[in-house]
Amino acid sequence: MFACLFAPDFPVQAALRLEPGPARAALQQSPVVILEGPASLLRVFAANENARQAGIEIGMTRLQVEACSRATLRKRSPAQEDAAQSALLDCARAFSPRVESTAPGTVVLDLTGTEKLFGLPQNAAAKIFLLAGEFGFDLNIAIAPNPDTALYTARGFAGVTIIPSGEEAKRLGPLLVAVLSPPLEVLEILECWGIRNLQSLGALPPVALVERLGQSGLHLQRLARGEIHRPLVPAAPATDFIESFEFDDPVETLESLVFILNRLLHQLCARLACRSLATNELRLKLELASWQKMAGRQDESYDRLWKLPFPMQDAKVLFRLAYLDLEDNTQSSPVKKLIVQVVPVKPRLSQSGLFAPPSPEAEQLEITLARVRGVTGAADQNGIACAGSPQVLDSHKPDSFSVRPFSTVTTKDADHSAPVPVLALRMFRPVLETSVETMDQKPRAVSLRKKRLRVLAASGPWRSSGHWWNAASAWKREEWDVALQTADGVGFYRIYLDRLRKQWFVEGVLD
Amino acid sequence: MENSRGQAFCVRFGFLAKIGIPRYRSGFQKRLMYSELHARSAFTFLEGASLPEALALVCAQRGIPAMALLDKNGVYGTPRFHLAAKESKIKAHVGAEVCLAEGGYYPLLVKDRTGYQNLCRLITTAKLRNGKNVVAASSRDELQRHSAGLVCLTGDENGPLSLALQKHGMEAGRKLLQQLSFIFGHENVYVELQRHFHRHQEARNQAAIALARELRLPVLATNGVCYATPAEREIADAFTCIRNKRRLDTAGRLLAQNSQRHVRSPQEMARTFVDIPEAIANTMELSSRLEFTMENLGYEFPRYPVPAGETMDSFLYQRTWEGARCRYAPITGRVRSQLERELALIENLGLAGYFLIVWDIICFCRENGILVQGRGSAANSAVCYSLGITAVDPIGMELLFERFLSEERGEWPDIDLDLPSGDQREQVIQYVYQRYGQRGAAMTANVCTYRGRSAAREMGKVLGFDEETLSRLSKLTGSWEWRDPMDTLQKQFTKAGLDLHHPQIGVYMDLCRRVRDLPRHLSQHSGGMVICQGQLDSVVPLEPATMPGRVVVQWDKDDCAALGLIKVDLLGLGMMAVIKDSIDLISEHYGETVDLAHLPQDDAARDVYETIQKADTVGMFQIESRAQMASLPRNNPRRFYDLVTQVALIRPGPIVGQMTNPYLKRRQGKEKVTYPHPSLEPVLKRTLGVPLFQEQLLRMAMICSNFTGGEAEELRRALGSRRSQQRMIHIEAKLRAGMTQNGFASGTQDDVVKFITSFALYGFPESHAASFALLAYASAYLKVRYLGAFTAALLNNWPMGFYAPATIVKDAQRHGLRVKPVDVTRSDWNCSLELENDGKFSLRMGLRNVKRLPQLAAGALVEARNARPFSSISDLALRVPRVSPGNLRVLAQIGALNNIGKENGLHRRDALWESQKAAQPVGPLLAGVAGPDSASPLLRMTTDERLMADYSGTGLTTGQHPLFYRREELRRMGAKSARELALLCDGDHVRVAGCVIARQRPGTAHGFIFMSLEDETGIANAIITPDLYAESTMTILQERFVWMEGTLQNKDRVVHVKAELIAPLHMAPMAMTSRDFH
Repeated sequence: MFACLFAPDFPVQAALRLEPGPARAALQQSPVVILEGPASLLRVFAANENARQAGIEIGMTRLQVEACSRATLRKRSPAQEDAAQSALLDCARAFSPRVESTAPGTVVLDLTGTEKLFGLPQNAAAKIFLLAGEFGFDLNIAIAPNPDTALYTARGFAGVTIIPSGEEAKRLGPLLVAVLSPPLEVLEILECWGIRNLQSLGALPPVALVERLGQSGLHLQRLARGEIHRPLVPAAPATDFIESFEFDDPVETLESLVFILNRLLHQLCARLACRSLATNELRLKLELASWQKMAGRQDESYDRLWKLPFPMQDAKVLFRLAYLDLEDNTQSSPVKKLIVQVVPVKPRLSQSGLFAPPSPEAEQLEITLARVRGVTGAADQNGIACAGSPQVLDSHKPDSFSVRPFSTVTTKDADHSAPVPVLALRMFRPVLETSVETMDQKPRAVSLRKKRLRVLAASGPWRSSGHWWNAASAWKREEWDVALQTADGVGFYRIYLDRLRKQWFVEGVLD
Repeated sequence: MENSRGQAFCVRFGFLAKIGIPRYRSGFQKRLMYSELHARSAFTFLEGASLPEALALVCAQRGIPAMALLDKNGVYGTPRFHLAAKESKIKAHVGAEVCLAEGGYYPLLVKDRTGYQNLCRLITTAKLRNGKNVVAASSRDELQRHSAGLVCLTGDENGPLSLALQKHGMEAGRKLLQQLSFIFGHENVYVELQRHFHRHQEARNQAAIALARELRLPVLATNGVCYATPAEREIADAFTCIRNKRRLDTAGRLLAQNSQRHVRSPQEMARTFVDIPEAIANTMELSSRLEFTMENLGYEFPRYPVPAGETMDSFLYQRTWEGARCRYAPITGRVRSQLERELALIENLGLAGYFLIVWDIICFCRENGILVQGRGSAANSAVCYSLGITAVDPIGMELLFERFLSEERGEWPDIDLDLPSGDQREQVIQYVYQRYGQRGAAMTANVCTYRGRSAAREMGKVLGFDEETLSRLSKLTGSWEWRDPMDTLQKQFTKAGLDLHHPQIGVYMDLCRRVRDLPRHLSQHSGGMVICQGQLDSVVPLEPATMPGRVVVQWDKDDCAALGLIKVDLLGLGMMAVIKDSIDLISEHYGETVDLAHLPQDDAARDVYETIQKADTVGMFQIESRAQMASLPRNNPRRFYDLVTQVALIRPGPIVGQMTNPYLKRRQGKEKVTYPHPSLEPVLKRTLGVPLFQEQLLRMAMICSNFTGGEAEELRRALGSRRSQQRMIHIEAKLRAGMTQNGFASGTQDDVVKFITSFALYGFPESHAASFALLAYASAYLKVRYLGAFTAALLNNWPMGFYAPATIVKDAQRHGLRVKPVDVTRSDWNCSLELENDGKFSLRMGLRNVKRLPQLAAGALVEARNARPFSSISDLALRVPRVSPGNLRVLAQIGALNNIGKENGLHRRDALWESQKAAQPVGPLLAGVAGPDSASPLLRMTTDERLMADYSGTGLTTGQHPLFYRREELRRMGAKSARELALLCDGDHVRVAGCVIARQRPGTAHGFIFMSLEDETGIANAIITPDLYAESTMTILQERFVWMEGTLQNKDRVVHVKAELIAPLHMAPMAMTSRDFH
């Protein structure tokens, strides 16, 4: 016998799975909608039965949903769905080693030989149902003599359904043809023929059916009659290592957060160790409490990614990296959800080369860089990372660059056709705020290190502006190259006026 | 030491000014004059961001005396720039940036007419060689051949000098300048300097200055203008993204570095070029050398070849009198004097060639059996009537000849020819090309501009919105004729589910608003052809059109008219094709000949007028719309002239000017006929004291305000498509002054001004109305007398008109025509007539109505059937492989295969069962063998299923209307049928249900929506208020079947339901369509 575990409205269930029992039960009784898309246009991706009854349809926008009902809105999280699928598979694996991950929210398992352990199919179904409940699922469970009959029964009938051998065709009969998910063209043909349920499909003469729909038609008919016996496709062990935790009440203290963080990291590392894997990428995401959204800052979250220079599986190191980061970046609002993900890779097996140049211990380097970030901050006020390797950006904005993490793999930088400057400019970082006296809109004197320096000659203005479509990153500046009369002679500097802030800066000195 | 280091620095960085140096040299500051000689408008598609008018206006505001518009590879914007510059009192220089195959855009300025002709030919040669959608590139030889009369600038960063310097340094730059001097002459090459405050540009400028000094070439300051004001740089950036298929976020340095390419004032330019004052001074010197303007292009309409010993005038004289003898028999004194007057004027104005050329086209049509009729003001001319160009007798109808042609107007007459749309029109167009050569005739262009939908889509792409959002927005950006002032962009965005508070959405909305009306690309006008004596390509550049064999000019019809280019509009009119096909079908089946010129008139066609009076006009030309139907019973047309007024009555001009209702009341005798002033009685008598035609307004202006013919013509132009508020104010003042002088009371003055200004919203000339009324009458006559033939022709020429085929078929059935479904054993591609046993004709639906059935497959099917009838469905599938399995399934579904093979016929599911087998590929062994058919196990279709199959397969049903099957239920719910509504009293509360066949939101209806609901008894008309629309938008826009409750309005045999509630009526999901948004 085969059992099928089918979670109706799977994305909704995946979103509610980690809710505490009573809250989940209450939510299940009310309309719940899963939204997907960019923040400017969220659309309904999935909805539960209550939501559908309230008139909500797939594809509606958030505003339309809000207009037609007071549904609970959740944003779709594919990661959460993957985690839920893994949990569903784990649930099935508790009853049989032969498990098939048929589709998202659908798992089929072979119960052959498990009678002594779990008793009659009814008992097995009841136990599965209970365990699934603990995992947070509300399933349709079907037990049937073959996997496909179990699958279609679970899709078509709510609750637990047991189909004894020999009754497959009769029990499947009332189900709509669409439950078989035939190709669209075949579905259209059957619709034209007036064949709407599996009973009518099963009643067609097989030879005539083959003449018209080929062998695939016959296959569909046999599925409709419950006659297909196929081997299961074993589910590959999960490759996604992700754990998340949503707090009932958003937490504000670091202690509460790192306590959970430590737990999740240890679990992940334990899973990695079980499979002889390590990770070279750790992602930490904090979703912040929704009050910030009211201030117009949608989707506020704190996201950190550590590209580790080599695979590691030491939870302590990972925890240290994350902890140092969280300690230095106090969140402005309470944390609602914590998501930790590691990317599994094979552990490092290579031995250091005899002639390889000495380099710091990789783990130590990472910890050190984390400490550096602790001092400098992860990023400056412009959002540029403070530790890593610089990369010039394709922009007219002078000195625009980003900082990438160190990598052992060297990548060729994109070709930048900007002319190579003929003079070297030593940039001041940060730029020096200054004041400039002007005459006829040209600089006349510049204050540098508390001294007023006369401008002997000035070249400019060189104007540039950009990113006008985004008020946060818009810039507009007017540069001058000036020769200043200094105590030592003549100094050549680049100054600029930030026209949006109406402030002068000294950007650098020319050789 | 310090100084020498400072000097080195200055040289290195293109130093502009040392502190302490005076700002301007003495004398220079006194007279700041600068002409902008390098500007691009939005007609450099997807690059320039301002319309030519905006550039001219800003130039004038900033005190720039002259500007040269140099769009890329064309003079697209030149006419508009020329007119705008004239208005702004600045000098408009002509030129273009011409692309060379070796690279670089060469800015060329026109000195004289030779130069202009050379520029046009140079561009045309490249365009026609390179084809559509390819950047046209000229060769250096071509440049040399066409260099006379042109001045060459060295261009900006995409110009030849910059490219040469960049690639190969000073030596290459020197060589290039020497070559240009050789090609254009030393005095005609200017080294161009632009300063947009870029460092790298300055280095290039220094190199250019050095070369100019070395070769003794003048330098010229320009700003390479791409937009009028700095704010428009954002549009230019958005265009850059569209051009490069990037998003703003990823476009990087493809975007502009700053916003400096706007129109800068002479003071700014002088300040910028303070170190090179001669660059500014030279702009004025060069501007003074550019003598050419668009005032006289040297355009000449072609001469018609006449036999030896004849002149064009004598030849036209003979042809006119020949024609007049046929048209007017006998020729009365009035006719004679009118013809002589017209011919004398034509001779005087030298227009005989034009008339003969149009006559030649008419002759070609006649010889080839193509129906043709002139429309527009040509119908005012007795010469046109005599030559057979128009079909309306202007003398009999007392039409104003001056509206067509006047001596003082100095403008070419306008003759539009209506032709059957489709192949026959193309045949005529190709004839004109053939006769005048590829470079002697061309279609006028149509400038496609950004509209709500295209702007929303493209700007969304630029900002990186996903495809789904864009589609949703495009759908919501309505195309109703009426624009609700409250239906703002904000509202549309909110409806699309966009969060207006999102900063990106704010930018998006702003871009969408600003980009509207900017040109996107050029396409060809539907029918306007420009013909030229000699080479048209020396008057305007020509381009290839997408359609093979077609060439278009770079200007649209308004530009052509503004510059005096004469055009003949060869317009495709669906109704002409319907009339032609009807006449053919009548001749073939009824054995009768219908002569359009001699259709029974007035009392001899009482049945026709009675049908029109009842507003039973579905399918009839011009009088089938909701508004027309609502006024027909009140106007009660009894003779042809009533139709002329009817056609002109329902137009925005008369409606907004509140002329429609007074006229209708006077027609019904409910209101006394009065005149705004006794002197206007002769002009307004025929239209019961209410002006309905343009001619009447012009005459009113002439009588009331002593306008001359020329002034009246200026008034007409002011009322035309490019009306200007300023001009209207000016004319109103003039009108009032004249009326005051003539002693008109102020109330009368207000009435007259209201009449005249409301025509700014478009009204018909009487002649045009008469031409259209003729077609309206012909279509009504054919429908009443030959319903089968007319309906078949109408369906065969669809899409056209106001109603979908489903409505046309149901209407014909209600008038007693038997309509039979598609049957592969009987149907042709087109709908056809079949003679029934009772001697009547029935209509057989054609295969063209079967969805997704290609014409080639249908043709192959008919050919195979004519060779030998099909013995079975397998036989059909075997013999006509072009009919795909999908086509076969649709044919079976709609019952078109029911009569194959079996004596008693199949039912549709039998046919589906068999057709699926026939469509299934078999192996090579059984290929070509039709296997035996097995009995079908499938159940017959139910009524609902048959209806659904009919609508999904053909969009209509020849069986009962879907509402027929619900009538009992609807009656129980208290609903009345469409027919019953007419029997109820005004003010009754009614309930109706029906299938929505048309929705209309006219521009003049203040947001009201007119909806037509069809049931099995006829059509019920409903009025939806803006409030109800706001309440039930989705139901009104999307539902196919609706339930409606409201108050009945039944006045003067015009029946409407004023809806108070509208709800969806749940029916089987049928694929019915409505015609919306007219």
